[in-house]
Amino acid sequence: MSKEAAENILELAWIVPLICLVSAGVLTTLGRKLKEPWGGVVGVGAVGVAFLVTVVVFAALLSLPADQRVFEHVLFEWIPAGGFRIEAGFLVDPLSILWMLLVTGVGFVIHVYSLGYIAGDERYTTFFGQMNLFVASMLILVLGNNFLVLFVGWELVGACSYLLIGFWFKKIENSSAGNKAFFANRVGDFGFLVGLMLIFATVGSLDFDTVFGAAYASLGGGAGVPIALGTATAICLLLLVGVTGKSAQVPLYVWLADAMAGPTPVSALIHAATMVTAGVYLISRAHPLFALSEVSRAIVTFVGIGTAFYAATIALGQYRVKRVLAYSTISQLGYMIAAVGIGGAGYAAGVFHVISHGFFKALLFLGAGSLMHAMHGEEDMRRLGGLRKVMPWTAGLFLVGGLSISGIIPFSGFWSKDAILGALYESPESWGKIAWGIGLAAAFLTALYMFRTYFLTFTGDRSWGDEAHPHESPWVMVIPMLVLAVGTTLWGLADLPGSQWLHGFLEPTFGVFGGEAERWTGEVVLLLTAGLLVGVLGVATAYAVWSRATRERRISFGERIPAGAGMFWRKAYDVDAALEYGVRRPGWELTGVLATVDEDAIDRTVMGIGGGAKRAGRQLARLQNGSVRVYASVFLGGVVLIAAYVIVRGGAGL
Amino acid sequence: MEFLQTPPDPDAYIVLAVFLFSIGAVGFLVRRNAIVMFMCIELMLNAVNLSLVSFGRALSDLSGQILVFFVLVVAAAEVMVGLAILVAIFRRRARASADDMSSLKG
Repeated sequence: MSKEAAENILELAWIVPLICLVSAGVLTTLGRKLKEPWGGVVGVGAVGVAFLVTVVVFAALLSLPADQRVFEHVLFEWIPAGGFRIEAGFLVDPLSILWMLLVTGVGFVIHVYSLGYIAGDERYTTFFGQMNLFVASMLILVLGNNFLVLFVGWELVGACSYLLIGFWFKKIENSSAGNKAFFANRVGDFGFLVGLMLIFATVGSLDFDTVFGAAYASLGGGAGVPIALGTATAICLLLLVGVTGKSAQVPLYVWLADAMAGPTPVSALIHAATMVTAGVYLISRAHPLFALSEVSRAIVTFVGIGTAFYAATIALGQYRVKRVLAYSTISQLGYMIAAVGIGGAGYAAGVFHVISHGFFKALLFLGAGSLMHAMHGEEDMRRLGGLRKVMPWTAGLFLVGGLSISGIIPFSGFWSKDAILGALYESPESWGKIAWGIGLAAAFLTALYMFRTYFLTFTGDRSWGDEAHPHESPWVMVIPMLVLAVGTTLWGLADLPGSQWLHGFLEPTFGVFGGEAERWTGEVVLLLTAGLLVGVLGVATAYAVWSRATRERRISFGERIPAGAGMFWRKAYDVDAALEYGVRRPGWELTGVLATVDEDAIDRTVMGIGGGAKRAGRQLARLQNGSVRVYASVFLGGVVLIAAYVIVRGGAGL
Repeated sequence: MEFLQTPPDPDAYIVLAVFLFSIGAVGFLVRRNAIVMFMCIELMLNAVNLSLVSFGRALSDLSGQILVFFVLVVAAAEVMVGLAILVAIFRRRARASADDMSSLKG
């Protein structure tokens, strides 16, 4: 492909989100008018075409020499307002193209799966419309060439998650889960927005080019407005607030577990392809800013790795399969955030893990969905068990996903998680090794909770009632899982130590910040072995404890736990209750006070002024009674008064 | 312009103007017939004209007299419009009492 041809193709990258956007518009407008299979066909087709176009764009980008693989194109002037000018444009570079491939690729597989999962739902067509909008929003987010376009995608993603989590809104739990997601995201988005304002106030622009140019300038290279250290730290921490909301990190992670209320493909889409990886993308994209402030990178790293460990401990206590997966996503996202927080080789490792996680988490979610499809929505592990015999495909594919997330060789989870742990360990930052230790402990917990879930669900005694008739899911649901399983098996090849294709591919984006490529050294082998051992240990422990769980044992699980601390742990450390007492109720009280102030003080004052003017007007209106002679008298009186005044003042001015 | 050299005493004219104006003003206020009210307005206008002319003479200033022309022209136009309105009202009501003409009030 010639350079010109490649650039012509790259110029059309904006078509990818547009396809999904148009399809979303058509599907949501037509709604019920489009009968069942066709709405799905359009929805799936749109994402499929978007994926194909993305692949073409990817090929075009690959055909360019490595140092020219950053392609920016301005589409139109969006907000021209004096000195404040925002252009809407897109940026195709290795980082954004990988995200586009993930979003459209995994998104497409999940869409296909939805054909089977959502079949027969009364809002079938709308569902696909909203799913398409979700994909389109995420594409806008990763394609934008400035922070404001990114922010539009960021907000759209939040809105879509609200719509889809509350898709079955007739049940109050579902719509309140949607609200919860929305609120937690609003808190984060507020931080993000303030961060953007601070960037604009400091640099005077929101274009990636200008802002990062300024960051480079502050590091001592190139021209631009230097950013002070304190400002850079503040910006990074405000961006981090946004990241904790969108990527479900401590302390704003609470919404993700409840997001399970949505249909399972939605969960898969949120967890694997869209939305939650946005935070990782943001930090990767804004890496020059984070490079300025070591403090903020340390905070990001520890928020990430702390979340990884914390969420893993919660996942271990859950009984519902999808809840385990939700906390596992929070935990895995923690790894990614920690990786991009520490920087260096961590950037490539984080991106590596994002895609790796996209494969195996989508696989696990689709597996859980397949399970619920078979068991009529039952997902409590205490009432499952022994399902391997009735649904061998689902069980086998779930096992692949489980092995991958647990970091067992040769699945991609092993390579990507160990890339992160390696980046933490080998980082020049002094705190890297502490983070590595926490990450290793979290890796053990990951293997443990994942295989606890697997064994309790698929092996041992069957603990479901006779009324359930589990069956293998239709092929339209199994084949997508198969594709994802192949993906998670092979994706590790993309960034093996020694070759590190991904690391090299991302170099145009991260440049000097990307760190050295990893080689096969004794230390690397040791680190990989440590990671693998921890995973194997976790699986083995899970096998010993849960693989032969009988029906009676399953039921007694809940009772064996000591009431106080145990329940506290099972209920995810009762954060919801803490939020209820610490945030919602004080907030409610405050709202009450404010409402009283508003009604009694502000409203009354305003209404009083208005009413006074009205009454005064009514009195004055009486003067205008239509009698010419009264008018004339008043007029005459006025003239006499003025004349008297002039005479008394001695005719001054006349 | 001989008369300008010996300005006469304007007192008598001004007194006359004051009387004329007072008659006009009082008449305007106490009478109800719109035509009479018009005549009263004319009285007031002419009283003012008279005082303008007198002062112009007394102060040897022609602008007082020029102003009178304007007043005459405007008064003529005003009377024409006013009488046209009166005729229109007469046709509808057959009365010319100003007190009845209050239907356009706010």
